[in-house]
Amino acid sequence: MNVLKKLQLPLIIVTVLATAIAYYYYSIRGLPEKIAQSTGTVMNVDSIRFTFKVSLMAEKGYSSYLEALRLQSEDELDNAINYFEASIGFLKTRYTIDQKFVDDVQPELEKAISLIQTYRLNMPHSQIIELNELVTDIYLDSENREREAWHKTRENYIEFRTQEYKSFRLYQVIAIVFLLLLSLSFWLYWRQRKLLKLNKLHEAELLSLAFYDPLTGIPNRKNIESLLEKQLVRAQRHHSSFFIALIDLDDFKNVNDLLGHEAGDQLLIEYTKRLTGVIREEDIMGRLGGDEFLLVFDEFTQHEELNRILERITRAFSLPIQINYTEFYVTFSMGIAQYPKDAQGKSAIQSLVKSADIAMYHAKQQGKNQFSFYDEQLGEMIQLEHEMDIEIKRALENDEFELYYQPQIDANTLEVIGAEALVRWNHPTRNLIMPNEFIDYIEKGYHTTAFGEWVINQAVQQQKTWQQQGLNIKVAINLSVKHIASPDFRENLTRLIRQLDADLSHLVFEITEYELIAYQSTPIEDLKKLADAGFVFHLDDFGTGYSSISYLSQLPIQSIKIDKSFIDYIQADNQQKRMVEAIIHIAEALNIKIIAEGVETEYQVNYLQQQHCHAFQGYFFSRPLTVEAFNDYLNARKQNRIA
Amino acid sequence: MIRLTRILSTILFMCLFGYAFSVNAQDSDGDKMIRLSGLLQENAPKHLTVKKLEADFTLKELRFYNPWEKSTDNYSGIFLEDLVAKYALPETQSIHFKSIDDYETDIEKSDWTKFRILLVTRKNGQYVPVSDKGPIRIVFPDYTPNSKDFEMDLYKWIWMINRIEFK
Repeated sequence: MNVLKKLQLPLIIVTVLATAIAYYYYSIRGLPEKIAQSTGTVMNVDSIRFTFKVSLMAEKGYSSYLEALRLQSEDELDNAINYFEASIGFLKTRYTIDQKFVDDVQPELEKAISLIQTYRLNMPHSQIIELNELVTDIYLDSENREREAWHKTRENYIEFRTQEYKSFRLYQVIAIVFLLLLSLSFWLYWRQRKLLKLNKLHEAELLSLAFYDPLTGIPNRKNIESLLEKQLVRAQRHHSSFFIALIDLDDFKNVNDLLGHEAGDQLLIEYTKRLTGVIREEDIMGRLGGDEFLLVFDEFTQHEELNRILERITRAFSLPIQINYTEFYVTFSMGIAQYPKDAQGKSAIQSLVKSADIAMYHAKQQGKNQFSFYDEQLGEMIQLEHEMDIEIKRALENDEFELYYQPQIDANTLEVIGAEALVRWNHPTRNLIMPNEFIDYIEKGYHTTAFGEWVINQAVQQQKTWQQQGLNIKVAINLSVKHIASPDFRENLTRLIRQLDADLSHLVFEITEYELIAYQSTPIEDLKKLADAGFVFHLDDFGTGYSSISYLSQLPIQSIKIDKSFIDYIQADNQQKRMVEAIIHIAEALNIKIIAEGVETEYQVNYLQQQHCHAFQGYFFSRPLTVEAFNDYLNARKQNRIA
Repeated sequence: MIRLTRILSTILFMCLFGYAFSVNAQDSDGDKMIRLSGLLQENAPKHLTVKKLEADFTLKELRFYNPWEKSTDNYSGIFLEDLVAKYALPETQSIHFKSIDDYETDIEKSDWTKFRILLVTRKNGQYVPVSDKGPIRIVFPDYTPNSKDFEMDLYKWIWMINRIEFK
């Protein structure tokens, strides 16, 4: 293609020049020749005509002279002389000039005139014969001359026609060749233009891809950050302030999971349209990625104006969106930060966006369709939560969590009948972290479900391992209420248990009483359905949540675990002791088994045995152990029994 | 001897007649008769010699290029406009010329009003013999080469005229 491109200009020049030269040679240069040819033909025709006239005039002169003799008429005699003179006139005409013809005929004509003028009307017969012979000779000479002239004309014509035809064919070939070359040139030119056009389109497309989000058409992260930087420079120059807002669509992942990415894309496009429709022309919106958008408000925006825009955004989200003939209500969380107030440190942009991010995180914690302004004091706390959330996500990905197991002991036989799975975090820099340092963050953060499913997965795997080893140990798994309340919890848990091929008769799910009471929207119906399907639930930390007896009776639980705080005071406090006794009696009345947590002394064991407690769990028997340590513990108890 | 005598006598004969022919030619060329006919004025002649024709008019002398001869010469003669005014009736619309060789052509009034057309009686001051396309001939003194008007009218340059008819 490059070779063709280089050839293009020379090709056009050569084509144009060659065509011009061919045209010149064929049309312009050949023109005089053609004119000469046609002129020559006319001259030849005239020459023949005048040669004929020479003969004709001589014959007319002779006839006229004979008439003059017959009539003895001087007038006719003059006519005869005039005819002969006219014959000389035609002989001398330029077109007739043929020296041989003139040399042959002119003396004959002059002699004829001379004879007539000499003898006038008395010419002897012999001279008349001579005159007749002269005229006959003139006729024959003219005839020869005419024939020669005709042959010459014909030859010239044939020669010219042949040459002309050859030239025509030659120029025709040249013209066709160069027309082809010209066409090739134009084709190359057209193709080059087309390629250039395509290149420009590609460049524009690449430019658009580099700076604009291909899905929504709004500035991408790079572009919006660049625009934000410009806004920041302007604000610095004018000593003014401006707001930014970070918007995140709540539960966007669920839309993607439920309806597919195509529907998720449609949702993003729709909300981009709505947002661009409610912000002002001078405000800028960009997509940071996923379901996150950044709004940069004009630097002269006041609080009142900002509030009006925020109201409009809230209204935009209050309308449902229809995807695949189904209506959805999507909520958002928005964090707002102000420059320069909320931008600290060297990198003002990063700091400002981070502040908006913290505010957004706070808004998300507040519930649906909330926006929150960044506050410095709150910021530190939120930031910590936010960082922890990121770390928890990483820990899940890097498998940093580990399950420890605390044995549960049968109150009558003192055999190990179960184990509560308790999570520990093998942090890469902070070593082992206990759950009280991170569980709250998991509960508040975004990874509750993922974390819960990870725990279930690990615990089930371990239970199956023990089962394969012939150990009859029920594994208790803690569930957070937030996890239980998550959408499709029941379906997901059922699916997970099925996937893991878990034995439900060896699994127990523990829910804390406090959480159950505190979380208003606990789906008890779901728990009942799960219980009907074979799931076993224990109420953990019982005594801390102040649940009523009626509420307790509604719960599909098999056991309650009396909180350690009650067990601790069995020895010292009669009132606590009586409360434990009351709990055990109520549970018995409701046909619910009792597990005592935090059992640390022999006195507590004996007392709880007397109170018909069903099982113990506590340091008196064992602290939470790693799998290896738990196995060692089991082996040790076995050895002791044998001994 | 007889042959030599015949040759010499022939040469002498030729010389004598040649001289006589050349001397008489000049005079006789001016005496050539022209016939006029058609819409003639009452006092216009019906036969006249070239000399007589010249006598009736003031001759115009012009120098111009003659495409038939491919040469430039001095021509004297009478403009057709004047000829018509002198001899022909006012209603004359064309002139029919006929030559010794019976060549014929018509020149319309529009021609002589549009172009100057000269009826030549002398070339380079001499009467024109029939052998040089005399005694009179038609020329267009303002002829311009490659002008379509003039080129198309070249056939009207009639020579050896001996009959003129006003129509």
